[in-house]
Amino acid sequence: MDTVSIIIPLIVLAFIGGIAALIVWTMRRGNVVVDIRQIYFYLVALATLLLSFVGALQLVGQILTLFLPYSETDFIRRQIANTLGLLLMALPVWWFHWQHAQRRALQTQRHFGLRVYLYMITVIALIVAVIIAGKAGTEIFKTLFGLVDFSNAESIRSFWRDELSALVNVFIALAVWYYHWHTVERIPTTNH
Amino acid sequence: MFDLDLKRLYYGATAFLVFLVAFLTAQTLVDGVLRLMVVSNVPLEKRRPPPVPVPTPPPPPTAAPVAGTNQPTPVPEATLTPEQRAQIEERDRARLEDWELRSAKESVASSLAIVLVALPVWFWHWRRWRTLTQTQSAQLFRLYVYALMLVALVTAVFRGASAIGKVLMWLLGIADLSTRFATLTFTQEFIGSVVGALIALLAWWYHWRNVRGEGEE
Repeated sequence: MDTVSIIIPLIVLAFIGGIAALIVWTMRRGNVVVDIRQIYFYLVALATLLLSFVGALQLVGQILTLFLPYSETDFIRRQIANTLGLLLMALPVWWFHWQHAQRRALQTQRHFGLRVYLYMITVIALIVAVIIAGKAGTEIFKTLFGLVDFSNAESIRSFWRDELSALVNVFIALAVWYYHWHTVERIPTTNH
Repeated sequence: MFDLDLKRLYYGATAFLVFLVAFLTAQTLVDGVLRLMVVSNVPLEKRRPPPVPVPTPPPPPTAAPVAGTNQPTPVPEATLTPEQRAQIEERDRARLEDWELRSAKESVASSLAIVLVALPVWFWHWRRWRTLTQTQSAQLFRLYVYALMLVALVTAVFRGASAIGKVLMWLLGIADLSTRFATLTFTQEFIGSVVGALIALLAWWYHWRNVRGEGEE
């Protein structure tokens, strides 16, 4: 067992434990209303949205890889089927939980949690968009400086596959960002 | 808002961790049982394609014995004793043993043992924990229940996604159904995903019953 396989579960456990400790600490303080049911809905919506988000980003690369002549078509098609399965499962669960959480937050006038959830996703989506755009931009600059190998057809196709994939992925990330930004902007300004 | 004493913490933490162990091992158990059914039904030689025979190079030309020299006369190969022959046969049998079947059996045995041990331990601690907290520390109880519901639902999403992926592969004609073993493996993975998702949904529903109806304003 390598170090990474030990550290990653420990980080995940520490994250979950940290959230639980934060909730318990907030509850013990007694002056903040903690709606655990609502937190559950936010966490399910967050987890399934992130799964769908990652799945959508992967799907773009997988579909574009199909057009490469040397790709293992059957393997890529199986990957596409698995990713589509993830999207078909995660998106309805996300939509149901997100709609429920939003409706409940607006009904009970508790907008703080809704804002935290929405801003968290806008931050994640924006960071993902910046990283993808940065990587794609790096490749373009490397091309301008003559550092990319264009000596054969395979490397040219791979380059354009990566650039096109990055472009579509940036649009997906920006769409996720815009949807949540637009939603948070429409929340009434009463603070609870 | 609630009192956090060590006794409650012990019951809650034990019930939570032991449930997670039982739940995740049950998922492994489903896969293990189905895998065992597949490898038991397909003989070893039909599971893997036979190795491609490597053409052996012709033996190097040997020099003809020179008559009249002081070369020792060739000694006939020694015959094996029955004990030596039995040892060699045993070694060959061990090499050919079906490790896939063996590992499937070991996986089922260990998963089954863990589930059988963990479930009663969880149930006892869960009942004590519920009695101690459901009415007196409702928030803490909700925290426990919703945390497990989250784990169960995310597991159900993953397993359900795998099952849908298999259906899509089948519909698109890219599922590997070339041999009986490949077909059985594909079916095993599909059924494992469906049963795993159902177990996760059962765990979700069991905990949801405890908080159903509350908080609906």
